[in-house]
This record gives sequence, structure tokens and C-alpha cells, in this order.
Amino acid sequence: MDIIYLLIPLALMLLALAIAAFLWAIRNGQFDDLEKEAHRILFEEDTEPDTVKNPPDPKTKS
Amino acid sequence: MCCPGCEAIAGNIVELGMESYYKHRQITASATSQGEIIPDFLQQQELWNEESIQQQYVRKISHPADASDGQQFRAITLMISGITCAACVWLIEKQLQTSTGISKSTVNLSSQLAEVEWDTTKTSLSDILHSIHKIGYRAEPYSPKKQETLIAKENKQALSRIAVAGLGTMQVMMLAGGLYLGAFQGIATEHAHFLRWVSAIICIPVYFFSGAPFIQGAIRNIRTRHAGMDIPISIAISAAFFASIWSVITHGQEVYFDSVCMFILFLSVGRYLEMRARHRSLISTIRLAHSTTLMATLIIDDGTQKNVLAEHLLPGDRVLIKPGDTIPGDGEIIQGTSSINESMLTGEELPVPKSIGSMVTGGTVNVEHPLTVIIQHSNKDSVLNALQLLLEKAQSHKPKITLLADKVSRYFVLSVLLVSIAVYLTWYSIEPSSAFWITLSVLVITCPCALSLATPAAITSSVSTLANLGFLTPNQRFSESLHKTTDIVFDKTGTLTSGDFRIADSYLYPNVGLTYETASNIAAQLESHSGHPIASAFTHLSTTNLSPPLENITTHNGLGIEAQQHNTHYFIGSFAFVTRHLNPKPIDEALEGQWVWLSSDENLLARFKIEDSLREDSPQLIDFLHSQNYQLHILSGDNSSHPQKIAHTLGIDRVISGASPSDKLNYIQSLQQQDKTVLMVGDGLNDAPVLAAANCSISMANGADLTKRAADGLLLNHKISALVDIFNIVYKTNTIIKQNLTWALAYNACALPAAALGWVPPWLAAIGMSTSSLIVVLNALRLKSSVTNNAEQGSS
Repeated sequence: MDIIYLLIPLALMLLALAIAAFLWAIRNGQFDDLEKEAHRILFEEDTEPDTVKNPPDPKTKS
Repeated sequence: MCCPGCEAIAGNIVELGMESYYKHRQITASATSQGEIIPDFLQQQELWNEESIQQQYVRKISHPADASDGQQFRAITLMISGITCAACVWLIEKQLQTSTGISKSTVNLSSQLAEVEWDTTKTSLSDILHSIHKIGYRAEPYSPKKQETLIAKENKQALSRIAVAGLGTMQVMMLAGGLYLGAFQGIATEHAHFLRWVSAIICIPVYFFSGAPFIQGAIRNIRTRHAGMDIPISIAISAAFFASIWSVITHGQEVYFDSVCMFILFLSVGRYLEMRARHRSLISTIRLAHSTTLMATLIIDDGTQKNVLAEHLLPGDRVLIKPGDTIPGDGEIIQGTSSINESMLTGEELPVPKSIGSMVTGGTVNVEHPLTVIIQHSNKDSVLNALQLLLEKAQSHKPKITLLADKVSRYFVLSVLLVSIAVYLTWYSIEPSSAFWITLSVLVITCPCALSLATPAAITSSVSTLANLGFLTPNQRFSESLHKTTDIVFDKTGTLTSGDFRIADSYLYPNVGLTYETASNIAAQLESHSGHPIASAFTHLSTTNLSPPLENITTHNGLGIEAQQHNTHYFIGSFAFVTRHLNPKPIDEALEGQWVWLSSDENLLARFKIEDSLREDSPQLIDFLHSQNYQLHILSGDNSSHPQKIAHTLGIDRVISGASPSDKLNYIQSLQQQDKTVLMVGDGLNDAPVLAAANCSISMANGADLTKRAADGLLLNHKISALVDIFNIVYKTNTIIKQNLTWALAYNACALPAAALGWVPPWLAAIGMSTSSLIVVLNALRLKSSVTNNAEQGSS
């Protein structure tokens, strides 16, 4: 069971990393809008303006 | 169509190949009549291109990479109204991305704010506003108020504390699992010590960082000699924490790090939920105040009117303040008499009469008649000041049930502390070695955690559920008073009826020396000074400027409007009002329907038939309210037979028609004297004092600004039948609060004796405490899911 002397400090380091990542996310504003991002995945991502102005042929789209 | 935008853009969407909007939207559309705001607002957009006006809102930013092209980038925060779901956000972002010259745009759904960056050489601010407007949303430049920045900071801090406590708890629980298993199955002493040391290390940040608010709260409580809930919480977590540290150092028997962490986590989450509910209502108050203090109508020397930003008025400017408008700055009345609602300064909801020479304060609201005011102070400060007062008022309002919970828990806390001391002393004399852990169990198990979560958890989930249905509650008065309500009083116009008035018929009296065009022009000009819903019918008439213009315009509330041109007086309004000076008196022809009459000094000139139809969903609401045994009333300023007819259709037997505002007020007060609790549902401008006098009130939010302020609940979605769902939610919230409080008190009553007798070890106490809190929270969430199901069934 002496392996815990290695594994638990490792777990502690992961914990520290997790907390740091979480705090970074909070400070970075990732939690500012919890509603929009949940739905963003549903919208088709067509970032190029051209594709919006000239819509693809509806027949080829599902 | 759910918002003005949807209406304007349905075609636009399809044209741009963005049909997927319809697949993803979350809220089904409902009918609205907001279209009229747009033209008025369009006039104001050009203003935003002026450098001096931009100064306050716009930030200059530089992109080093692009600077060489001579481009100038600016950024601004826009407040966008009309967003109802994620699809709206997507659409606005799309629209901005496809416009030229915009380098970055993000829209936040929760806060309804947009961040936009643009290139001044390619586009202008008013073009951006216009492009948002074209798809039907209303955007206004916005500078976040100090309070909002603070709220954002507080929010982030609370989340950080939860993050540390949550991750820490997971680890400590895992280690505690090892220790408990070890206690049963055997564990090497040095391994056990190692696990304890590690738990201690993890627990240190949780206690000192995440637990800090409780300790600080307890210190504050002790300083102010107030037995708050933070005291037993702090004693419990501090005692458990330091005893465990001591136990680790001295190789003692018990450690309670898992209890400490779990405790802090659950309490932090509870506080966070409570805080969010508070912040949400606070932010809506800030926004409300922001949007109503923004614009003022400046009268230029030649008599023409111009819209300007209230903040840019200078001492000496003359401004016109229509009924229902917020006064843009401190000043003196130079024309007109009216009454002013100064509730934001004095807390008194009844308007104060003011006449020429009286001083008015920025931020207060004009109630009755148009006023001309000469500005005396650079008003930026005065408006801000008033805003501050409004906010403080909103912040200081605590729901009665929370106050009750505070009061109960104060005694509770004191008795818990006394009981703990008694338990410690008793056990110390019987069995000194067990005294500490038994006392700890008592403190942990009786922690008023569930008690303190009972109300906020239910209120949070009810506030957010109500907001999803388009119902805002700026304070908690609404949910408190509803279950006591015995009588519901409806205004007719714009509440039970759609409020979308049209001129259905008109008649010009022969031999009056006027053409129909002139008569209707005078009528429209007169009515433009009224905020009464009927006046909106006349906005559909085309008007030209009269020369000379009308002067001495006086509004007689509930009766009509009077004005002077040359030596001729014109009167518009009810038959009685326009004929009272005529000699001989014309005979009232008792015509069908609702008519508005126009007369001069000598004779009747014309009459206009105004029509307003019953809302489609009113019967549904009335049936529901009848089934709930409320006594229903209709109060209407309309003195035709229309209210009677409406009441007959809906099956309401108590109708007062032709009621002046003071009649309405008297009616409500006489009901209250009969020990009735009155809920008033209104819309029109004349209702404001009546809404304030009723025990609680709901206003349809397309009404004038003033009613928005006075009401306890604002219905935003223009469907009066939504009130059925809203009432059900509020009933259910009250039931859940009662259940929660009963459960929390019963739990404590059973657990306390058991813990005092030493039957409950601290770890079981911690589990018991957490479970009881969890039950309270889950019970509150039940409200949310069940009601959402109902609402979906209702609207589909």
C-alpha cells in the first residue's frame, strides 16, 4: 500500500491543476452566460459572410 | 410573432437562408403590439453619431496590426431589449457579423448586453443601431453602472469559492472513505496518519478561502450583537476544523475534515443561489431606471421639439414632460400644473400636486398633465442621485417571509448555542472524553442550513420560472400577498381588452365651418398630449402642423383635453366634458359604442368612434379566477356601455364604469376597509396611484413607464392568460416554502435530542445535515420542472 505515498501527492497536484483551471475559467468570463452557450452548438456555423448572403441550394441541404 | 423583430424579419430570415432559426427557437411566438415604438425611436438614433454624446459610452481601442491602414476602432456596450431566447442572440450576432465594418460582436443572453467593435471609417454607430433595429430589436448604448460591476465581481468571487470547496470536498470525501473503510477493516497507522495529513492540507484552503464569508459574517454578527445564522455555522466549522488539526498533530482519535468541507460546500451553494435571485431582480431594476431616464424632449426657441439625452441638458434649457415621463433633471415648472410621483425620493406612492413655480426633481415621474420645465441644475448628478435612491430602496426590501425566517432563526440560533453549552457541560461531568464530539454533533446536526435554504431556494426557482414566462417581480410583495388576496380588480382598457384602439367611424357636424381634415387634425394634435390609451387611436391619423400652434394645453384626467388656438378653445373627450360650457346644451344622442367628441367654444364639431376588442385569452383567465373563488371587479374610466358589455361576456358582476382616478382609488380603499385584500391588474396611465394603493398589483408592461415602477409584477409577454400559470406557480411556491420550513423544523426537532444524547457520531450528523438541505433544494426544484411542463402544455 506504500504506493499511496506517490499516488496521493499526484492526486493533489491534479487537484491544484483543476482548481487553477476552474479559477482561470471564472476569471476569463466563461461562466458569464450559461444560457447562450448551451444552445450555440445547435446553430450551424457559417462564419464566412458569403455563405450567408448566397444560401446554398436548399435541395442539397438536409 | 414573439417580438417586434420577428414580425419585421420573418421574410428577412428566409431571404438570407437562415431558416434554421425556426428549428432552434425555444419560445413559441405570441402576438404583440409594440410596433409603435419604432418610428419614435428611429428619430433618436441619429443623435448617437455626435461625438459629445458618444464620449460617455464609446471606448477607443487600437489594433496594432490594423493601425497602419488608418483605421479607427471603437467599442461599445449596447443594451438590447426584445431578446427572448438563444435564437434571438444568434440572429443578432449573425446580423452584426454580416454588416460591413464590424470587427467583433458578442451578445450575452443572460445580461442582454452586446459588445460591439467597429471601424469608424467604414460604418457609424447609428448604422449599427439601425441594423439591429431592422431585425426588430431595440439597442441602446449602455454604460454599466457601478452596482452592476460590483455584482459581476461578487458573482465571480462566489463561484471561485464554490469551485475550491467543491473540488476540495471531492478529494477529502475520497480520503475519508479510505479512513472509514480502514476503521472497519484495519489500516496501518502510518497510512491512516498520512491520509489525515493530506485531508488537513486540502481542507486548509477550503476553510480559509471558501469558509471566509461565514467567519466574517459571524464576526460582524458578534460586533453588532445580533444572533445570526453565521454564528453557529462558524462555531461548528471552526471547532471541527481546529479540533481536527489538533487531532492530526497529536495523533488523536477523530478528524472531521470531510464534515467541514461538505458543510462549507453546501452552504456556499445555498448562498450563491440566494445571491443570484437577488442580483437578477436588482439588475432588472437598474435597467428599468436606465432606459427611462435616457431621453428628454427639448423645446428649442422657435417652438419645435427635439429629442436629446437627458444627461446633456444644460441649465436654462426648457423641456416638455409628457404624462408618464420621467423628469430629466432638477428644475422649475414654467407651464402647466400636474402631480408628480416622488415615491423614489420619499417612498410615498401618492402623487404630489405641483404648479407653476414649483420645483421638480430629476428622476421623479410626471403623472397627469404635460409640463414645461426650465432646467436649473446640470442634471446628470440629480438623475444619478435619484437612481441611487431607487436602487437602495430595491436592495433594502426583504421579503416578509425571509424576515420571519430571520427572526425565527435568531431565536433558534440562541437556543442552539445554549443547548450546545448545556450538552457540553453535562457530558463533561458524565464522560469527559465524549463531550467534545457530542457537542460537535449537536452543532452540526442542528445547523439551520435547511432552515436558511428553505425560503431562498423556493424563491429562486420561482423567480426564474416566472421570468421564463415573461413575468418580472421587482420585489417579493407579489408572491407574499397573492395567497391573502380575496378580490381582484381589473382595469378594462389594455388589460382585459387588447388596448389597440382604432377609429372605427367618425362624423362631422354640419355648418361648423371646418373641413373634416382640419377637425381630425385638431383632434390628433390634442390627443398627442395625452398618455391615455384611447389617444393612441389618433396616432393613426395623418397630421400637419397647425399655425398658430395650440397653446395652454390642459389634460383633465378621465375627462378630456382642452387647448387654445387664437381666441378659440378646443375641447376633446367625453360628451359631458366637451359640452359642459355649451349653451344650449346639445342632447346626448346615446349612441352605440364608445365615442370621443370634439367641440369649440360655441358648438360641437365632430365625433369619433373608438373601438377596442376583448383579448382572446381573457375568458380563459377569468374562468380560472372564478374557479379559484376570487371576487372579480372591473373599474373603467370608460363611461359608455362597453365595460358593462365586456363584464357581461366574461361573467363579472361588479362593474364600475366612468370612474375617475380618484373614484378608482376610493373604490379600492373602500374594499380594503371591508378587510379585503385587493390585487389590481392594470395598464393605463391613470392607474398608477390605484396600483400603488392596492395590496399588490400587476401591470401589463407595454403600459406607460410610471405603471412599471408602481407595480409589484410586470407581465411582459402580452398574453393575459399567462397569469393562470403565474398564479399557479405562486401558489405552489408558497406551498413549497411551507413544506420546506416544516421539514427543516421537524428535522431539527428530531435530530437535536438524538444528538444531545450522544446517539449520533459527527459523520452521521454531517450526512443528516446535508441530506436535509438537499431535500429542501430538490423540493424547490420540483416547482421548476412541474411548472415548466404545465406551461409547455398550456402554450402548445
